[in-house]
Amino acid sequence: MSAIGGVVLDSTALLAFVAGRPYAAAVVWHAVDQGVVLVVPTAALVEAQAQLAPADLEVLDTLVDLPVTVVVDLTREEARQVAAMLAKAGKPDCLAAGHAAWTARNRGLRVLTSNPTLLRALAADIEIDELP
Amino acid sequence: MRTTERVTVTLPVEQAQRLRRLAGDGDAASISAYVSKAVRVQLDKDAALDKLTRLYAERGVTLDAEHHQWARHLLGLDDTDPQASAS
Repeated sequence: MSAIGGVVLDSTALLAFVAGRPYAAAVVWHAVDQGVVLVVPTAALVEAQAQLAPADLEVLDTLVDLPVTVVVDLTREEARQVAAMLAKAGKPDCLAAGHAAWTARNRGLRVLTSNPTLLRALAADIEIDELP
Repeated sequence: MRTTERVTVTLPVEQAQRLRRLAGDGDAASISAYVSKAVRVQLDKDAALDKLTRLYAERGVTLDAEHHQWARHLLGLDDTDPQASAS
């Protein structure tokens, strides 16, 4: 699929999709329809999975398995940079949000989230879209 | 066991000309590879949209015009052609 642009989904956006929130569902639908990449940081995926029942994990898998979805790993070098971001913000325990914010900054993409306050605290320079 | 099948398709002249230009050497193998890739991408996309449609229906997810418009704006897509059939 020829992808254009892209958007990072943090753990709250992933959970919004699983919960059937229509704005998140619409973003996923149109991303597939138009070939827009959905970027899922591994740490955000883990945080979302940890909050879901087995049946809902299958819903999350549906999103992860879409042809436009790209799951990005946290490499050793990137871990150091995410850690620096978390330390600078004074939020050392916010790994999932930190990985999402760092991924957005590193790739020049916006982040879709239900918790913009945390992401802004981590990286004030990234574009953040709050789910209604 | 046969893994490919010959299929004859009819294209507008303009598309056929562009296809020959874009498909590398423009020979039959190159054109077949190009078309095969395009068909696979379209099939994958249609399958994904079908899966989402069924998932949304099963879970009672209803998308109205406001949801579509908001999503398309967020993704930087043209708001004049929603092409949305999910409900």
